[in-house]
Amino acid sequence: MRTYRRTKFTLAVITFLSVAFTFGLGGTVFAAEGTASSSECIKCHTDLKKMDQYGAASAAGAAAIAG
Amino acid sequence: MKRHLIKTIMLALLVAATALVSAPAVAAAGTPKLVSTEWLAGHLGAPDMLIIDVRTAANYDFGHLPGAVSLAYSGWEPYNKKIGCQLMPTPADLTSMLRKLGVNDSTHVVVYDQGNTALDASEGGAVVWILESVGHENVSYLDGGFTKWTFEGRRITKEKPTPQPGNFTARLDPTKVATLKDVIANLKTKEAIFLDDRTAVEHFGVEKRGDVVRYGHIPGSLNFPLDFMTNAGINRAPATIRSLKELNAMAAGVGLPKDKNRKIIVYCNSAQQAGMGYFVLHDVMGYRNVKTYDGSMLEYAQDKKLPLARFSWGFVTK
Amino acid sequence: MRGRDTYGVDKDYVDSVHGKIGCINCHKGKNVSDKDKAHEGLVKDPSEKDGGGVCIQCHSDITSKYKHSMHYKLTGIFNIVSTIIEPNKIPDTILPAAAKLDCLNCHASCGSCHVAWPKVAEGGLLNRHRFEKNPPMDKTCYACHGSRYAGEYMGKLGPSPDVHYEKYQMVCTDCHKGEFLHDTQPASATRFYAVRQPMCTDCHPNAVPGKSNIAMHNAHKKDEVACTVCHATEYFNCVNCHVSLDVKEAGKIKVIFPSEPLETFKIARNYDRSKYNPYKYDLVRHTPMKKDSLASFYWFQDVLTGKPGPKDLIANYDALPTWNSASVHTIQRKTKQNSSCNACHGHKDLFLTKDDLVPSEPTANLKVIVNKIPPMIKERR
Repeated sequence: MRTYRRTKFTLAVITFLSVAFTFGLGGTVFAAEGTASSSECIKCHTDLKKMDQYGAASAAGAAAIAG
Repeated sequence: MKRHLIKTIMLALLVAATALVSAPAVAAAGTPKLVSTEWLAGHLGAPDMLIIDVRTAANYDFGHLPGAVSLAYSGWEPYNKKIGCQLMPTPADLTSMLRKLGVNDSTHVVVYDQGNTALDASEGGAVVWILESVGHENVSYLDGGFTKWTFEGRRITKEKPTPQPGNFTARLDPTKVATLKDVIANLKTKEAIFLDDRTAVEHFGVEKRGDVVRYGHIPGSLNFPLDFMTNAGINRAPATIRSLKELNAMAAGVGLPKDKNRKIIVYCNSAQQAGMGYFVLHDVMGYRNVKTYDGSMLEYAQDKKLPLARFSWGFVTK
Repeated sequence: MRGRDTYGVDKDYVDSVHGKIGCINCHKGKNVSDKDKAHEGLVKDPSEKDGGGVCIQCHSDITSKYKHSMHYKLTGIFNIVSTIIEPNKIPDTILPAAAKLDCLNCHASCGSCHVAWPKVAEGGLLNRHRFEKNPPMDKTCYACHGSRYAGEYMGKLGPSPDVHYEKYQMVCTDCHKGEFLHDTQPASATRFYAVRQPMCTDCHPNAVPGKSNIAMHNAHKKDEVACTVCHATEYFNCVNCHVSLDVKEAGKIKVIFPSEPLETFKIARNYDRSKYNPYKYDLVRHTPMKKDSLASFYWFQDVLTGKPGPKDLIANYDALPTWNSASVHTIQRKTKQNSSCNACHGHKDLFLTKDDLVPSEPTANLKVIVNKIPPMIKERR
């Protein structure tokens, strides 16, 4: 009986950990890895003022072709 | 039979020789300023005729009309950092550039551009103006440019000719080029009509090119947009020049006088559209006293003391 | 048309479900501050490959179908081209190169509707990299379909916008659901009007003979006339298209294929009736293909490959009509032709007849012309 309870407990812990790892902790780890691994990209591309200068410059560049 | 063959060959040689001799004579004695692709195809290889491709160097390298040499439009109106606008090179520089291309005093120059949009076409028109303004009157413009030429399945090549240095000397003709000083003087004298060749929205002053400092037009200007001058409009092709009948009707519609001796100063943002305005007015329609303001709005709008009319059509602000 | 949006990414995107994945996990490149190094090996559109790219990982239910769809494969265009150039074969021509330069700009990846402007618009991101479940039609659909459907629908072409847009602000995806766009059915279809698509009767089920309160609906037989025949106004056509190239910068070849515009309204016979276009009479739009439309390819092939192309590239020009069924998007409840029976009946100008055909155009046009104009009805207005 005791062995059965222990087995049940162990199974519950394993199940919990698996679920937590898969959907919880794992997700967080993935997310942290995701954005952290792209920190420099994000730093630059979320600087909207700087990014929009590229657009404005190219628009002016296109206009400069014309008369 | 043999005699007949000799006769035929002689006749063919005679015809060919006549064609060779007559081609430059015709050119010098007034080949139409506006030539068709058909005309050019029939005159390819004519002696003392030089075809100049004013498209980008990349376009020329990819493929061009047989025998054409290259001088991209950017070289005809380079950006002048000091003044902050595009200006034609000095006569000395133009002399050197044109001699390198093989231009002689007697050369009949045929200019062509991409000819896709009205703006493409204005590059060729502006080059014709520049050539005429430095004394090379023997110049023609290929109607519809590279686009019409290729649409018709005509031959293009990668072969680049090796030009023999020419002897042409560029001398500025002040009756064809207006300076800022001329424009300021004309604001008072109103001797010449100002003609704005930019779009109607730029003329009215609700839009402007990014690098033009202020909105509006030179007070009293009439507006004859470049887009109206070709059959291409904004995005059709090829950008062939509209018929004389239509151009005359439009000129009357925008308020230009019928008197072909009236003085006219054409301008736009950089003189590219106005260069085509000059070509259409001077070489197609026959207005005799047309000047292009080389600095155009890029230069004029910088001096905040100079008047600009906004939110009005030019004739109202006369 | 050209996009004006930049590659600026909003901070709220970084915290979103897609944002949390991290840039380089999809776009590759390197996470360093130096711009050039960071962009080494960059994949601009990670959703492109095999009809889904990285999206396959989570959205395989959609991408597994999308990779076969017309928007991804452009089946319709390629089938038509290979038909009219027979016996020439596409690989022997510069058509594959031309397709890469231009046609494929309209081929849509997941990202070119949901994240960034389509290639043809040369723009940046649609909305700071936020994923747009419903693509904004004025940037996405219009970029490729601007010269026909999307343009006329929004009133940018032709005399008036479509009532569904003008009065009800309906967007393309209100009718053209994702399931239609992602999954071309039947898969064997080679032309757009044979494809499963929204029908007017989906929303207007009673606008059919025998069910309607409107006499004109009941007066015509089932599948006799398409809804547009009575409810569309004049629409935009192209007449005369030719191709050239423009190389403003080395390596950046732009294909030019302009055409003169024409506004028409022409009812014709539907020679290719299908489940989704079952009507006997349909509106037709002019396809601007001329026998010499690709005349420039002869010498372009020479400068590109050192050998000229086929002299007569469109050798099988007569095979397909240049007047083709069109789902015209200029719908109005009241139109000139539906104002009375005899506003349409007896009006030759509304029908495509032999007199409308140009002799230089394909003989296949004879399949679509109307030989007998419906006569005026004497006892009616």
